[in-house]
Amino acid sequence: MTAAEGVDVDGLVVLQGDFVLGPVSMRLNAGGIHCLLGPNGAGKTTLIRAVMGLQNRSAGDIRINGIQVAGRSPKVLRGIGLVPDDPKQLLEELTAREFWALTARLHVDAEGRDAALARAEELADFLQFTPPADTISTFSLGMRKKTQLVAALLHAPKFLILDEPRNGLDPLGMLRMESLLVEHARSGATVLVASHDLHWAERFAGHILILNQGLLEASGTVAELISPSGSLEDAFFRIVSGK
Amino acid sequence: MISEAFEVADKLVQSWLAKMKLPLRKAWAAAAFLAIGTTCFSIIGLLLLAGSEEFIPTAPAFLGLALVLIHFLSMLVAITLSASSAQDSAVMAWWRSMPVSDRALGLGWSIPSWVLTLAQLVIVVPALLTVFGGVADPALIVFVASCAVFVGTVAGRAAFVVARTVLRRISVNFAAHAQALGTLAWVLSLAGATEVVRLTLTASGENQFPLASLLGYPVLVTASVRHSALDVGILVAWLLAAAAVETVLWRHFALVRHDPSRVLRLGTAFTGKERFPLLRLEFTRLARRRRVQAAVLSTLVIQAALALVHQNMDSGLRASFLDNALLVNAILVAYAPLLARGMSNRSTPYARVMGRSPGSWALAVTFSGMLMALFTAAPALVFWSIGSGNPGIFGAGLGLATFTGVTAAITGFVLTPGDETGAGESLGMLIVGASLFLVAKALTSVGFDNVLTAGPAMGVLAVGMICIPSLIESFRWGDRGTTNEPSAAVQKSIDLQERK
Repeated sequence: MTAAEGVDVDGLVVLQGDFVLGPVSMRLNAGGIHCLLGPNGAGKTTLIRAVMGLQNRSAGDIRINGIQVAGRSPKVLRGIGLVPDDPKQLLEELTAREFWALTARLHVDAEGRDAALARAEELADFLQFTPPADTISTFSLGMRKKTQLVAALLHAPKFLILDEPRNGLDPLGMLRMESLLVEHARSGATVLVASHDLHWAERFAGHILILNQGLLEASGTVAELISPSGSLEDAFFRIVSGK
Repeated sequence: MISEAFEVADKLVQSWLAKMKLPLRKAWAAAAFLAIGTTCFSIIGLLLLAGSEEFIPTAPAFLGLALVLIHFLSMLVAITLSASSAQDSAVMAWWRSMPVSDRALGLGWSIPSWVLTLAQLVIVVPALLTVFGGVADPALIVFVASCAVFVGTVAGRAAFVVARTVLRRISVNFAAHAQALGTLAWVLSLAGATEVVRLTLTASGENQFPLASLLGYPVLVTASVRHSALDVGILVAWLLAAAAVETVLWRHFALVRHDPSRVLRLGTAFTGKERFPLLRLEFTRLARRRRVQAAVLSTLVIQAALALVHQNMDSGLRASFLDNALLVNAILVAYAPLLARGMSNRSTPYARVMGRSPGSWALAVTFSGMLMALFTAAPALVFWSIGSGNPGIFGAGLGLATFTGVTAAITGFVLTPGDETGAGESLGMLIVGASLFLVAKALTSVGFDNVLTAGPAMGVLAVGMICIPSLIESFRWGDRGTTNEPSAAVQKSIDLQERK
């Protein structure tokens, strides 16, 4: 892994109506699992959208694996896998397999598509998800989440972003998803997860980022953020309440 | 890029068809049937017209009107498709997170409108050549018709791009304005097109449009017959100013996010202690919907514009003007009843969860939409009645609005528009508009003199149809009479369980 791999955000500012995100500067190392925490309205989803180039920014510089993100760039997006928080953010009129085939066509060159689709089947098996022949519009929340997760991983992205990935998953699904994320990070990818589950983040993430009212209030390992006798939960409430 | 654009277009069309629960094969069959039907209808209608004695001297004027109509239709197609693509939907968010260039996305989203434009050309040109081939130069007809179609499409798309850019600059939610802007763009475009045709005809020695045949055409065609470019110019300027006022009003009252006390209060809050709680609840939900608020505001603005024209019009033209104005008013107010059903989940509407019967809930939804439609229609009707000293205008307008309201409600229960694509809304408004024109035309050809006399009859007809949404929902949920007897399939399942 080179120093250029990973994600660098420098002085990012986003203005969205009356809400201001930033300035935010952070470094997400390749091969790590980074957990983005923060109360509702802190700017987590805005930050994710800005990092992907989907949100206009007023200032700052973003580099993903050394490539500067300028606007919505297909070149950058090809290397990103996204599991959005909105379970409707997929094409409900397709079946799961059609959806994966479309995602593979958009992300992978012709020669790699069969391998990507085979990987999709493996991922679905691992998640114990047998996609029904019916369209996604009939799926439950958990099934939609698994469909999104497989679509995000099938092209083995260098940068994987998950916004509230645990919502709707059953306990076994959560465990399997964790295994997938760990394995993916070990392969050298950068994994960024936005979540509200502090206990899970404490147990699972190597690097914690706490966003509050548009500002990055804390960044570090769990050990760096908590006091010897405390928990991440204590540290989180202390930071967001400003005490 | 081209293959990606076609991929986007393919999925877009697939999503529209899925929303309408229409399989691809049936959609093709329906499109072909519609295209052939429209071509035959146009040719037969125009041939009948061409057979009348007064046709030959007015043929160029009719050709001009036909071209205006083509422009109008292509503009409508372009605007409705642009409106649907402009929705800030989850589907659009998904596409934007994919590695597809903005150019491919834009092209893919516009392909359906170009295909429809071409289809429209294929339908229209043979009809025009059949009827006008002997009167005018065929090559000229093909050229002018093609220009009308393509200019309409380009103008429609351009109007939306400009509106979207302007509204985004001032941080206004474009999706909420799409319907209002579409209506305004439609009126403005038609005013411009009719003015061009009128000036062309005037220059070529033809002095006026055949007014008696204008039933169903928008009011500005009639307004422009005043032969004063200044009046039309003033009207267009007034409409632009009205659009600006509408935007400001809308921004002030409905889009103030951080100060709830400034948000428009309609005094209809649902408490559950009042009489007719279901009706109040549905009306409150409808009144708080931004798209409905935008549509009501734009309707009021257009009504004001029509009232201004009416006030300044020669008395000889007022009757003809009112026919068209009442039709336009009736179409505009149909938006709320059309959306009323779509506010509740298609498969599990809350009323079912609450244990309400589908019939009574559907009736409440229909009445809430109707109330909104009639409240919106009333100001213009009162103004025209008083201004003309003819109370019959109020009754006729009410009848027409009731007809479009009920037709829209029924369409809403069948199509369930109000979703993210916007396709159902566009289709619904087209169905409502076409139904109104066809029934009005049918009644005026069987003894009713004009829209003023046909309006009350259409209202009575609509009242008779008001329970159709209840029947649709009751049928959908199998609530056709109370019975405790299990169905044959359920009984079979029970028998099997018992045998085990």
